[in-house]
Amino acid sequence: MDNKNLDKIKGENPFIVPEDYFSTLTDQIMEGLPTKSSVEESIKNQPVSLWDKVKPLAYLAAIFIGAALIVRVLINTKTEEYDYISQINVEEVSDEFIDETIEGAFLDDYDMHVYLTSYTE
Amino acid sequence: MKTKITDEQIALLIQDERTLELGFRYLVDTYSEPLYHHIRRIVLTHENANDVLQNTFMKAWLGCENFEGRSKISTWLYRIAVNESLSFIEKNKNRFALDIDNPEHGLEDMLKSDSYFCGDELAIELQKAIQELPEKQRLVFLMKYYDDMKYTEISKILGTSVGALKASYHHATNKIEEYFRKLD
Repeated sequence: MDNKNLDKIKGENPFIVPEDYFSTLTDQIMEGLPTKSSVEESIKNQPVSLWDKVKPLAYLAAIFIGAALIVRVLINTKTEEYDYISQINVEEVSDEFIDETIEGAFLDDYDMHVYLTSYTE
Repeated sequence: MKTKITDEQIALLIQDERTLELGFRYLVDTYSEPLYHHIRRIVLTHENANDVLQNTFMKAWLGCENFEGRSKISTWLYRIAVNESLSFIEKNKNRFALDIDNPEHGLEDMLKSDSYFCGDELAIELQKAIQELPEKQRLVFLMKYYDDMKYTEISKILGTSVGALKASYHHATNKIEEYFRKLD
């Protein structure tokens, strides 16, 4: 079967309507429409739910919480870096490195004595 | 007798608050009949089609402030009509499923019980074949076969590419031909 045969099948429109349906339809539809002012009024009078009222505050709170989390993460990262440095075991540092550092710091024996005694105290 | 008025004139009238109601009356007057037939082929009975048509014009009325004239009035209205028809079927899914799938209360009975259906056995078989098509293919077939719409127009209504529509129509006609071959 080709499209020509499909056209033959189409035949007359089997979907009919009540008498005078279309002649009265426009008036019937227009009468059923709400007036624009009543639509606006009903939108204005729609009850505002609790969630609608607190929504802006909730969004604001979410922004602050988000910002606080970001700040906290950044601070924690810095603290971890600091902890890493402070946890270096001094005993593992070689004597040669300590000698070079002391020489570079221009400390004489007296200064060293004062520093060590204050440290041990 | 209906007053002849162009789509452009209707668009201008409904975009102005002072002439909105007059413009909308022209719109209903111009499009109620073609839209009714289009909707009727999707939802089948007169009662259903009348309900969906009322809903379509209600949606158009409530949204006509947003109509900016970027698309044609017919495209805008057909899009609403198709969406309303599909929503109607979805909302009454149980009724449609029962009517179409249940052999005792099938599509044939549904059409025969509608006092505004006057088709013969061949017309009933054609409606059965159309109802067996997937949704997209069914819509394209109805718009092309009955309304002889251009693919570019259907594309704007359904938001599908012209190529995909041509393929859908081709598949739809093949399936309907196959349906009738099996009947012979």
